[in-house]
Amino acid sequence: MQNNSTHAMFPDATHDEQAMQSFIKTLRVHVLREFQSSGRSLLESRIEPAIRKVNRDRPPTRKQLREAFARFPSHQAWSSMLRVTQEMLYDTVGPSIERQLPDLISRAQALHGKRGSLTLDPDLELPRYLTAVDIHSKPGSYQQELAPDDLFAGAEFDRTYRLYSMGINGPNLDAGGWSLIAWIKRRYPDFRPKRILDMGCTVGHSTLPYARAFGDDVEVHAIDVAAPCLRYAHARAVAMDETVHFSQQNAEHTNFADGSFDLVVSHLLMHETSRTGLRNVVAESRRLLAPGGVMAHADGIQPADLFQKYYAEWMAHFNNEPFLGSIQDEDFMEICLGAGFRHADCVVGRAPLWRPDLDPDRASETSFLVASARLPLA
Amino acid sequence: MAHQDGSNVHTAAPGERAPRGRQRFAKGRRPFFMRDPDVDRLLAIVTALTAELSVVRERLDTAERLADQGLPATPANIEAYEPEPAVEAEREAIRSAMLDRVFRILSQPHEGDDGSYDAMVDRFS
Repeated sequence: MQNNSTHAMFPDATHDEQAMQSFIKTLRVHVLREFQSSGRSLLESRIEPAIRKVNRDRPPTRKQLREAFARFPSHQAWSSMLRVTQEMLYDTVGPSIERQLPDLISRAQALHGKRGSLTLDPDLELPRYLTAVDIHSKPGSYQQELAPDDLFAGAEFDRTYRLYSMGINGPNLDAGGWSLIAWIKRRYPDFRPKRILDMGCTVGHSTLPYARAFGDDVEVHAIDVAAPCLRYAHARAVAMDETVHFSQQNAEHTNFADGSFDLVVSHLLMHETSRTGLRNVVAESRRLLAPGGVMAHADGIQPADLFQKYYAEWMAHFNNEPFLGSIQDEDFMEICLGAGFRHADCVVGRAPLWRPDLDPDRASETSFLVASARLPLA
Repeated sequence: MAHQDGSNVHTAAPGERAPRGRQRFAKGRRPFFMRDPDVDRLLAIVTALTAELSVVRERLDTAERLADQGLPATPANIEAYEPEPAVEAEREAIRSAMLDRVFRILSQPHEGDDGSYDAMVDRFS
């Protein structure tokens, strides 16, 4: 029985389950490498020159890229393989989590309430943009409930995300949080938040660094709409000796009072919400900020790189990520201004991937887009 | 009960406490990419079979490594076996090489020309 865990809630795996999951990891590396290398070569040699000719030298649109790539048999094959890899990821990890679900639930029940808190709202209405399809092609998505006190979706996510991110996010899968923290500290060197809110936290991978990064006297809250993820998140945080207050809420309209937080953040939330939802989340962030407070929302999109722009479009259309296409066309500065922030207080930048166990001098190729704004002190 | 139609609807009776089966198929359009979707399906089956082969290969490797330590390959010993990082690295290389071989044809570049005999003759004439 293998665990490979960094915390006591991490699901285990039998010999053959681990062997199957290791295969999926190797398969994903192989497929992504071939998808990207053959795709970039097609883009540079055939697709981009042809589209620029038609467009009178303007860069290809998302739709043009998708339609052009779909015509090449090699790309059809690697697209097919990429979709199959995603399906096998869940079909491999899912049964393993299901096998140990009763044990995971009782382990979580024993940890619940030891520190921090968990507040669920069974009457919370899920936004339609999260129920229309199963996000990331994850069967049952992040909110399906299989049993009382269920945490299947959260436990499955912890294990699949570890395989999916192929080591880049570190052993605690928290590089998203650390990267945004590093960006915030560079951008606002004098800033010392006491009350922090993480929106769309899933199982709290990116949340936990906030309990460490700004001193011991911070109060960290985290919200998500998915109860099974929050139950797992709370138990995982306790197992990792971190104090976080989790509650089941929609980031578009929370129940916190005006000015409740010094820092409101999110990681990979923006592309999971609709165009209207995104504007509501930014407006809600502003409402929740105390004077001098900072909002910072991070997302993984890189539309400046034409192949990354196409890859995000691919995910939108072929991996149930409905808004990963359209978010690339958004003007984040306009969205911040629309929420009532002043132009001089807004910044849209990029946060290089960073975590404390990485060499600070090592330049990272991966970075997050950050949409940030600060409320004036008075 | 298993929901194999991709629906999210919980059909269990009110008050039922037994866990229901996980959903196996994601709700939403299942994309097909090849000219004939049956080729996508076949590719999915071949990939899944390759995974099964890799698991058997790894189980055999565990049995051999147990034997090296003088231990019989009982189910309990196989479950208790924890590979060292060096062993995992070796296995990773074996899996990677297996994928290179099984899916070799997909990596062969074939879009530089239109494949026609006449075009080739023209080019070299």
